[in-house]
Amino acid sequence: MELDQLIMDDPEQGLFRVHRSTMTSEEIQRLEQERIFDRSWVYVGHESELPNPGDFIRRRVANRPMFFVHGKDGKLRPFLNTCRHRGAMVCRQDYGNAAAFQCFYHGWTYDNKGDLIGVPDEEGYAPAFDQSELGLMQPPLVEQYRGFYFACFDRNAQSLDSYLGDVKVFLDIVIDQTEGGIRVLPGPVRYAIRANWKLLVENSVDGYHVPTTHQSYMQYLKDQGVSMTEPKGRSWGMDIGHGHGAFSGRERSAGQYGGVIDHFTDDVKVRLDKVKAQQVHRYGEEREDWAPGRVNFLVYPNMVFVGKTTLRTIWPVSPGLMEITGWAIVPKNESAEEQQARINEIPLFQGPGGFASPDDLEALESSQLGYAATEVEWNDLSKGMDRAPKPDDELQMRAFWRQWQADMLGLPQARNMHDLTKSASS
Amino acid sequence: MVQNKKAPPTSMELQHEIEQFLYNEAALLDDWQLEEWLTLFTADGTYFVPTTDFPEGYPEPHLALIDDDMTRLTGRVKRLLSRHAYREYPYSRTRRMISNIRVTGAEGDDLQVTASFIVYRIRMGQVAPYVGKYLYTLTRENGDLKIRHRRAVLDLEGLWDHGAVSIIL
Ligand code: FES
Ligand SMILES: [Fe+2]
Repeated sequence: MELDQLIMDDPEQGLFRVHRSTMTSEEIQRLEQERIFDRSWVYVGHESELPNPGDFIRRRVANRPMFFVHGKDGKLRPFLNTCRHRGAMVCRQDYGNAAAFQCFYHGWTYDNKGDLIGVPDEEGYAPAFDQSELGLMQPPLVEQYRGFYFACFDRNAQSLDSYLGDVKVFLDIVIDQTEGGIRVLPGPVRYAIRANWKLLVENSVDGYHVPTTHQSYMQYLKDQGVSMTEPKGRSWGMDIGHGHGAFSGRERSAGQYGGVIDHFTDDVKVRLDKVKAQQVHRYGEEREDWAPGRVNFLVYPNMVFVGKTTLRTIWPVSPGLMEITGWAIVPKNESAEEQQARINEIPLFQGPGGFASPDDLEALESSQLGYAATEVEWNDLSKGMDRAPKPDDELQMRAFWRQWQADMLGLPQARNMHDLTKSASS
Repeated sequence: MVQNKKAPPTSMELQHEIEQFLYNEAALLDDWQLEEWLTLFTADGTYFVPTTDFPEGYPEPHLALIDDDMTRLTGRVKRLLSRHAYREYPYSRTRRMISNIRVTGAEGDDLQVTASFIVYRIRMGQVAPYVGKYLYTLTRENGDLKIRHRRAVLDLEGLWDHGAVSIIL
């Protein structure tokens, strides 16, 4: 299959199909690393994870071992976690605080700004050996948007600001839930799914599967007296541009806290109502369904916000295996009790031990197994191509795939920027 | 939680009773007798599984894998038995190995009990062991042992082989 034949995109006819080899091919996987993950802006971490000088966290980013450090000069830096001497990993813990990192292999030592400050038996090196050039390396480009740090391994890439484009509006909504900003909490959930990473990208912005896949989750909410409704006339799916996409969530009768609202003290309920009122005030009538309510969105290629309470990254390991890390997000200025209640509601309830995610996993793994039947060549993603996009349509997935195709083919922009104008603009 | 703290002396009779209680509980879970399993809990019972990053807990608000009171735990069981918990229907096969059972404390009717576990989950060609320890608070109601708190602490670094905690650990 030629690379430019993998997607059938015909807005005139309302057809959109993706070839299943995109989910199974080793070659495509290799090209994705080179043309997507090594060229896009990818998420590294949030400033709130490193509150104090010396704080560090370790994580894999774009298939590279990295660690992210708060230097003694106040700057946050993501480093490639490999010693300049012969490669050993300099940071060997997931969390901590350190003034310096000593590589245990031969003892080279770096400070928390990345400078090489100690080399045992220095006299053994010739004058041409320049210690000042042998600090820990960073990705070629590192930028942040309001505390979210991103890296890019292509030094000729556009700025983060232009890359993010309109998805910044959605990041703002997450950040400005309250006037105090947010924290991304330590202790994420970490899990793997035996399926192609793009299946979880699709699933994360898929409203269509909810009534069937999550029937038992909905039933539990119903048993608790919580009903889920589409906010009238205000639900949508969205192509945000540059592969980013979103869909509006359902409104819960008990507000965004739904299932556990009865566990809250009156104080907390009053506070929540206030937060909700402020959000309506801040974002106005037009966005009142998604500012206080739920919205799922993708920051292309692999960073997903589920509601405003969960952030996840999705990294491919092989065509049929992905690794996911999911963090809880809380408003900084809420009390510990409010934060815990918030965490207990969405991220935990929907996480890998919850009432929803396990069934998503099952659906994705089931699809991946289905692809072994290679006679069936195409996946269909055309839902809603011929109407104003609803949350359970597939516009936001088409937006992803169109950018994916542009990146894989090295096109300056997607071949089809939209579905038919009439549906995209309404 | 310090594990090697020396356990207070326990009578053979109590040790035996607790062991039989835990083995019986394991059999109910392996047999998917989940409604019966629920009756082992007190009305204020809890079931908790911490994240793999902080098995011993974390002082500030943080995520857990599972944090159930009896309302949610009852909902969990109902869901698992509904045939619409697709990760677990058709049911997976499970086999629990429970050992190193120790009574580590007693206060009034409450007993602190720890045990090691390996729970094998077998489904769709995959055999994945969950490895960890249980921390129980057991108590007595009308003479019978009941579970007040049940914490399953995983030794895993992530759910890399499992994807989820879709069964009851
Ligand atoms: S590899 Fe780090 S000091 Fe030699
Ligand atoms: Fe889902």
